[in-house]
Amino acid sequence: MSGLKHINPPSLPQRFLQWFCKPELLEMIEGDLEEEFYNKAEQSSIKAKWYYTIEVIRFFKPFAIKKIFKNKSGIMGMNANYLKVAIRGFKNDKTNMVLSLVGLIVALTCAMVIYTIVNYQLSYDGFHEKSDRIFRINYDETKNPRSDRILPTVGPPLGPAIKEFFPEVEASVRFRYTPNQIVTYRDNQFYEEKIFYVDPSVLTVFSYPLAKGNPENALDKKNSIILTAPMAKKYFGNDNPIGKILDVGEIPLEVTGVFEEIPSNTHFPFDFIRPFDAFEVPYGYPVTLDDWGWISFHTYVLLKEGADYKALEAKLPEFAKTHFEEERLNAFDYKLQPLNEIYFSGIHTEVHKVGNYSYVYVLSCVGILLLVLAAFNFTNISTAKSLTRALETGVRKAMGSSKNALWWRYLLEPLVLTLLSVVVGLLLLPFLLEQAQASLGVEYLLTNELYIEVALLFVPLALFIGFVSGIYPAFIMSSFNPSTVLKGSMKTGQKGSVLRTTLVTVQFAITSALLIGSFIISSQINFMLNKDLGFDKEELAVLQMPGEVLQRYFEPLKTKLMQNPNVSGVTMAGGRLDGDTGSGPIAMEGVDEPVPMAINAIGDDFFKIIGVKVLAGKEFSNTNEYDSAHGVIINESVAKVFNLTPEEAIGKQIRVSGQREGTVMGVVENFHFTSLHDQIQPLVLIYPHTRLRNIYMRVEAGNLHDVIVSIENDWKEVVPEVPFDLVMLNDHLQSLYKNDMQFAGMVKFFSWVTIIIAIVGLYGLITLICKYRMKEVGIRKVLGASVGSLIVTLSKSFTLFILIANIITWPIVYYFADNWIDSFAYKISLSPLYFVLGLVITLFIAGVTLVIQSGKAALVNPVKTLRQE
Amino acid sequence: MKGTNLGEFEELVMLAIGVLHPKAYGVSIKDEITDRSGRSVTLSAVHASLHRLEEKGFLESEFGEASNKRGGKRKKYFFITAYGAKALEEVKELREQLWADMNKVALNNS
Repeated sequence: MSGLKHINPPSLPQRFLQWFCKPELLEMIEGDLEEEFYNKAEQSSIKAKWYYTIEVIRFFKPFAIKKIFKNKSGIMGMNANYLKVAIRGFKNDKTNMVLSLVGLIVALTCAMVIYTIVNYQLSYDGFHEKSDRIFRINYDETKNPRSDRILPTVGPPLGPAIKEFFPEVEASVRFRYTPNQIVTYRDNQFYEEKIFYVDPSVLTVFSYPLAKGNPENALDKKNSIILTAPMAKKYFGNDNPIGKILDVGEIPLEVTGVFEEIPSNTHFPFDFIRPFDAFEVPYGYPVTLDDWGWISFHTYVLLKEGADYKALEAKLPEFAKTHFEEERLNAFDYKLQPLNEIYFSGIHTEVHKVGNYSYVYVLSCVGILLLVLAAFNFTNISTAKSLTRALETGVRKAMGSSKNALWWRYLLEPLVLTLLSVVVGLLLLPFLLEQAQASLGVEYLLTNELYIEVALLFVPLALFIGFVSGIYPAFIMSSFNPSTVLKGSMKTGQKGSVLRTTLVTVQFAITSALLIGSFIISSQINFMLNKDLGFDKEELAVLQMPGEVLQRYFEPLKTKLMQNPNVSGVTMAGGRLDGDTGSGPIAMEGVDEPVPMAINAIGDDFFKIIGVKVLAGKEFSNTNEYDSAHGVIINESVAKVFNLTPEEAIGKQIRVSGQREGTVMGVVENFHFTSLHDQIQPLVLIYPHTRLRNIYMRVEAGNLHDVIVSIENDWKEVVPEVPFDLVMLNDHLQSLYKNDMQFAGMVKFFSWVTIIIAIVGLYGLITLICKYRMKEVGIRKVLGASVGSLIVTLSKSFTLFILIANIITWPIVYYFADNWIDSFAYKISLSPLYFVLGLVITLFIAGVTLVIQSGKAALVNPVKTLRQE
Repeated sequence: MKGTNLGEFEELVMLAIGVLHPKAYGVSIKDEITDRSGRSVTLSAVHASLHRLEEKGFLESEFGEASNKRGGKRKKYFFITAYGAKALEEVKELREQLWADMNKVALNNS
């Protein structure tokens, strides 16, 4: 026993018990607990402490807890009594309470959703630990008056050379994209497009930790491959993939690593990586890996701690001099782009995810407007409501209620409501985000940290809204002279009307701004989705045909497909008219300097099948050897660049960046081969050296499913060992606007939410105003006013507010919309119709609400309202 | 007016108090129940029950001596009131009546 003297019960639970326990029970409970504690401590002091803690928590029950909230008549006035009064206040005016609450909850929740989505967009590539030291080297041609390209890629030797040459470069990483390949493991066989050749330094420069495998040597061997966790799951299920052999194309590769889950907010998504050493120049390419001008390698550098990237950038022209001729050097710059700026930089290539900053911007604005609107609504309603309570306040004051007490009286109610709303909002947030993801495909990441961040931002914000909306009524009410109120000589309707007028006007302004904005945005998106692309995109199917091994299958497949009654034309081409083309300098007879242009390859009858007119000459058709080796087809734009008419261009000598030397044999009408974000560029078309990857088919309309099944059957007969992968071109092209559609969807949705909140607010406000103009309405009625004229009287001021609001809004909306629309190469014109439509709809919404509410007021028997005095 | 029926656990507590009389206090009641029934009982459950029984008027209590083992805090002894005794009796009678009237066949199965 004596040895145990120094062991005491744990102090924290003890203090907790002393804090909450009823004083009359404390001695007994403490005594019993301690007795037990010392009994247990004889065996183990840790167990005893543990037991003590658990028991204390168990005692936290109603019978033992003292009353913490007591009805002291506090001088501060902040006491439970006011909470009761606040709750009573809610009960008395259920409609308004529900409306305010719903409005607040919806607005706060939507703002939280927007915050999370925007946060995701802005967080791109931020997860790399060294992100502030990583830069991409861009190839900037804007110096060249003939080009405005900025490419995110440079020549293959640059990466190693820059590391060799500059001591401040710690490491460099090159990425090289490979086209779709068939990846096979036992029975699992799929097309994979996100396979990259990468320098092994990728594992140290970027934060892509390996879940399995050794990062030191995982990319050392030429035949190694590392996959992402989802890919490991897809091919190997629950088996350990390390050491297994995966066939990529025809080549067996050993899996040497599996990445841990890679966050989706990276601009450079990949599924597989292979060592750069294994990369071989594809057959038929007129280049080598030492070619500084082969601009198609994404290259990143990691700078040493403290290195200034601007200083390094300034040294790059000198560095480039050793590798380029003087005249070429004048045409471009190497630029270093910080990693975290890449996502929004707007430089498109097929392997990047590109964000649109204006979307983030507009969405944030919508979120803020939504909050402002909800706050205004709430303030309006609390102000209007407080005025109906002037009498009660007068009585309280006359009874000797202190000013402080009155302040609390008016502040507590909105504070309780806003706090409640924000809590509900926080609970709804994860659920709503999931919904947004399911219905709009919105991407987001809601980590615990972000959730806490949202809570830390929105709880104070909500309380601020509560405070602001309560402070004004509190201020007016506490300054009332009770005698005037009680005498009835106080004109309650006048007080606060200036503020209310302003708020209502701003509210209308926001509503119509969002309405007009969402009209414009959805028209622009619809315009892009429906724009004539210069070819007939309906009923065009694209079938993927992989790898050189299948070269020999194209002709038999074509023969087979042409017998299919559902297929009326078969050809092939590189790319899918989504901007995926090659590029290179084009030289033309009689022009001194070659001009960089997009280059693509197409098979026989391509334009006939996709529906583009040949303006002069002819296209490849039953192509003879001479045509396939020398013939070049250009689009109108190319002719224009060289100042030729289509007819003049025919027969001119042309040189296509080392791939082709020959004559122009045809000129075709311009058509869109990239997304509508860009203008139609000059495009040069050649007959392919090797077979291409895409088979284009014109198919029957009608039952698409049957058509696809019949094509699949043909495919399986000819090439049974290769997966069948057909897309409708139209569907594929729509995916180019995924970002835009998502954005339009969100803006439209949130605009509707805003409009509904505005209506709800308006409804509440008009109801209250009508309520305390009841007497006036009654008198007017007794004096013979008709219901119609009463409605007009009540509506007049609102109509005026709406007009003023629209006049304020229009130039602002015009400015922003004009800016946004300018980011598109093909755009709608901002016709006044959008603005008028916005006004008309706002008027209509307000009108309907007004008629219903003021109608109600006007229809009440005046005896009822007038008798109250 | 609180309800007057005795819950099963409340009954156990009261019986334990009777057994321990006049030295029934929190820890001893708990130990008694634990020893006899073999179920694990927490102190807080016993206290909650004691509190309720006292509120119903079945029990009364007074402070006893302090003990070193309890950090110098006094024990609180519990006693059954006459009303409590009557309630206990009623429970007992009810049970005996039920036992007497039980159809013996019903028990043969077990």
